[in-house]
Amino acid sequence: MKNSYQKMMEDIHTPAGLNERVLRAAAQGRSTAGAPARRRRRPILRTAVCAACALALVLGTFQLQPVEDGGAEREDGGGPVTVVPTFSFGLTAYAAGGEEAYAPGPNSGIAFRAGEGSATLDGGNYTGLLFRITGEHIETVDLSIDRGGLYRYQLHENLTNEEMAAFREAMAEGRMAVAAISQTDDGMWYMPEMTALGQSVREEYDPERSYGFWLSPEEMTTGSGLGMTIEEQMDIDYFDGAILTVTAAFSDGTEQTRTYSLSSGPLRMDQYTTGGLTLLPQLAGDEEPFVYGLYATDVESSRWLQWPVEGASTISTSYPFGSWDKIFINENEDGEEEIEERTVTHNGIDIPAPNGTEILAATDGTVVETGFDPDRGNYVILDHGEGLQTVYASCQESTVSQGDTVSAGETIALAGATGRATGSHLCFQVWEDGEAQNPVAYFDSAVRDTLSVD
Amino acid sequence: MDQETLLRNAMRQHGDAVYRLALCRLQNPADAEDVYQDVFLRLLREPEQEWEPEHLKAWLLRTALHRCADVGRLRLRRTVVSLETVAEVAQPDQEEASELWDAVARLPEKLRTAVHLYFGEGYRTEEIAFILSVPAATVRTRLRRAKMKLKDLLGGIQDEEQLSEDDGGYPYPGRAQ
Repeated sequence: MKNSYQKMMEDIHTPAGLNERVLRAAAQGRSTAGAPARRRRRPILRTAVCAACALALVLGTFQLQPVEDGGAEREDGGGPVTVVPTFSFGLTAYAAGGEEAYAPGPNSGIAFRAGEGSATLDGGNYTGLLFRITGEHIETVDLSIDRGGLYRYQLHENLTNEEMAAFREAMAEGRMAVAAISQTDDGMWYMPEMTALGQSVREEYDPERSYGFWLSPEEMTTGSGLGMTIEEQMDIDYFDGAILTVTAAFSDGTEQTRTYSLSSGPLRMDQYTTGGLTLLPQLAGDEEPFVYGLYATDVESSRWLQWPVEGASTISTSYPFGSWDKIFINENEDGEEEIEERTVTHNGIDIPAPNGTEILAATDGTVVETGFDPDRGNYVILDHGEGLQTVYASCQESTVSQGDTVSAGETIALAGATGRATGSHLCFQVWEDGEAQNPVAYFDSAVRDTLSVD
Repeated sequence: MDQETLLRNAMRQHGDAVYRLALCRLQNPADAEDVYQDVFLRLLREPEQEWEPEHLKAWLLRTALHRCADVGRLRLRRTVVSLETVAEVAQPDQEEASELWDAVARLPEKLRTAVHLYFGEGYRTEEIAFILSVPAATVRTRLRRAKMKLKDLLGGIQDEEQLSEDDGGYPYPGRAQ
């Protein structure tokens, strides 16, 4: 049984030198009680991450991982046919009760993570996956979801004794969703009021109001949602594949609608680059740290790619995308182990494929560059417009030339092991506005479902 | 199989499990190391036999728990060791792991051992019952009680300075201890 506690334990090992001491003691036929051996420093990133996950599970709560406030004024590029709205809005995921907000993930994804929620058998599951609608000049908002439900989350602060008594009574009588009444260290009592809304709601806009995903008691499968195991968190799988539609009506009479597609699963943690824990709107690999959660992608503004290798659907985990501190163990002249920590960066994902496998253009585009360098080997760079580029590296050879126009699925190169490579594979990179992005975020769930990691 | 090979293999395959259990049980690395050494030296004094791997592991864990009980009797007051001490946490700002560790460490000994064997070693309740020499129903009761206590200990953990009202009247899901 795999779970967070077990993963935490996996990072506790027999102290170095203890086994040798036992062997010596056994050989001498007597017990030696030497000083405890010196322990090495080792990072236990995964442990900490999974423990965080466990806490979330125990609390049964989620926070939406959020878009930064700047999302309010996001400009739509707008094609020739599209009427560019005067005003625009975005969704911002918020930590429950807090003002903490995060930057949107790659490919316009928003990841929801554990915050303050509540699950009871007769009240349903207030998942704690919260978001707000951000924007200016919004008058009314219209939210609907095609499965499961939504709830309104409003924080009450500075509660008086009378108010607390009234809330407790309301909770006891089932007129109000069960929620924690908590106190800050300076003595202020507060609690969230959570109101189930069903599948849709239309109401006046309040920038301070959060919304969350809610499951009715009938839709709950696991009972409490408060267990320690992943299995008990899977209630939120009900939202996998759901569509959330948000329409904002602005003061000038215009309206804007955004459609979000929801996916649930073990979400990948990005703990390497930021020092803290950031939840990414993408699924984690088998061996990666994760938090079980939900993420949303903006259906219109996301860019979806086709899988670039035919017949190969494995992503190598030996050299994953991202930037991380890696421990190198070297032997010095005296034969002693020396530990060195270096930051390693990989701008793409490695897809193992036999030599000569056809590499396909991930979407329509133009060949901007083909070439060779010692690092990337033979590579092809395609430009897809609006700042999006894909790179295909480590190829045996490219079969297109600079300036060629290619369509999605067209063969552009053959897989190989050129450059700094240990086996035949495609190194696939996605760049948006000059920044390397995690390519996995650019494949929709239909493609992702076919992928495996090794 | 000669004695040294048996010892080496046993430590390689089950050493971590023995050490983790002793550490979880005793909350003291030095004591855990003593128990560890004692357990494996005792293995050599067992009658020679062909050990089944799972049988060997169960024997080691049982013996470790017995030795822990002996050590525990000598300790007047139980302390809680921090995760940073035993696992060398690389990012100390990640408090959640420490919180989970601490919460488990604060469980009563019987609940803690059951939780560790169940979640840490992946044993089924029947197997835990065998290791602890208690009925399986008792193990399940301990696990249930441990889960409830853990919820209490971990509730409200997002801001540890916060206190929650605790009148016990209603099932507040995020209640702090």
